[in-house]
Amino acid sequence: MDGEVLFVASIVAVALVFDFFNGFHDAANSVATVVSTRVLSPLQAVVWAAFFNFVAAFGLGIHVANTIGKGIVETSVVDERVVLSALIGAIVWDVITWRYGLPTSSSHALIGGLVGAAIARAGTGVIIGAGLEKVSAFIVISPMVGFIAAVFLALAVLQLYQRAAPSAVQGVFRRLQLLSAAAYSLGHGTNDAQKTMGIIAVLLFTTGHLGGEFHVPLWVILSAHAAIALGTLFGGWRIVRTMGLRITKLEPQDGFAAEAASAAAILFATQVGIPVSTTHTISGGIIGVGSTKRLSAVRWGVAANIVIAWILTIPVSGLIAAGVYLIAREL
Amino acid sequence: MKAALMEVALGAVTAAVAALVLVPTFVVLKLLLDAGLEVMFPSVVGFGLLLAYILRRATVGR
Repeated sequence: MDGEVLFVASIVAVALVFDFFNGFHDAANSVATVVSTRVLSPLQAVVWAAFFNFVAAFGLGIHVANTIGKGIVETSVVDERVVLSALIGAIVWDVITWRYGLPTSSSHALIGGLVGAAIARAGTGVIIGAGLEKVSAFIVISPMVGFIAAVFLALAVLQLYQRAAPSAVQGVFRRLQLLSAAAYSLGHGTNDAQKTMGIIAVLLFTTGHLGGEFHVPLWVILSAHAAIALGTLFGGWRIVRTMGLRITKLEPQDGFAAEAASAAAILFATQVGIPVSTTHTISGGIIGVGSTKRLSAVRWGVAANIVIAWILTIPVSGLIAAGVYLIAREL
Repeated sequence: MKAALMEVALGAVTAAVAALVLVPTFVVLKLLLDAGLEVMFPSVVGFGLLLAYILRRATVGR
């Protein structure tokens, strides 16, 4: 194997590790509600979420991968160093924000990293304005849609069950939560894995390993979904230990409304090819459900941290990636 | 047995209600997206903030 191929293969491996940690980091979103309401045992919940993360590889398209691959920066400036710098920028930012407890989006960090490294290589002219504008707008739109849809869904459920016995409500929603958790895991799997697919595909394309036309090979699709599913499986175990000590009080109908609304918002964004933060979208859904009971019940500190993360993630991960690219260029 | 059947029926009704809420919401979103981000962004953010304000008024004192 020659050096260039080995270098490309190493970057693909780094991208898959990034994908694995995306699943690891977000596992809590997928399993927390079904475990806390005791609908599934921790082991069942983790396997359930990981299974649907992987199943999302089939039939949900690759619109987001195409956006990441050729809709954010001109493919002509993307090379091994740009992709590696983008991944390092995103990983470093993720680690920093994890250390300080900021709920940032790995997806936005990856996009910021790609933009920063591309600008460091060839200037601002290589940015595809329309693509970046759409992604930036959806940083705000996606959680807001999660919020709005969750409010409507929670109110509809409240109306439907206002005269029902609490035990009947619990029974119905314990089962429906299986569906909403599966739908959320499908959305999470498809939108997040496609970001890694896009990065790998653009790397393969610009280094001449894809032929003359940009596309996402099947092995890239399957490996990206396998990586995120494995991340969920292992990340879920970490969450399970926490849950064993401190189970969150959550009503099944609330979990259903938040998950179903967020899943729908994420799947909508996926179908129109827009990479969104699954974490921020479900945060919007949870805030929406909480708001229908009492607005002051919402932990606005969390919401404020999300806004800080919105503002900082793309510019800071971009700056880190640009710095890494400038160093890598000299090596 | 009867209780289990009742739960299944209620679950189906709830899923149908969820679809009735979510599908029109996303049809509207697609129409807004097709109209352009300059229409979609202020519409969604403005409506979300209005909804939050209405909920605040409705749930005050709870």
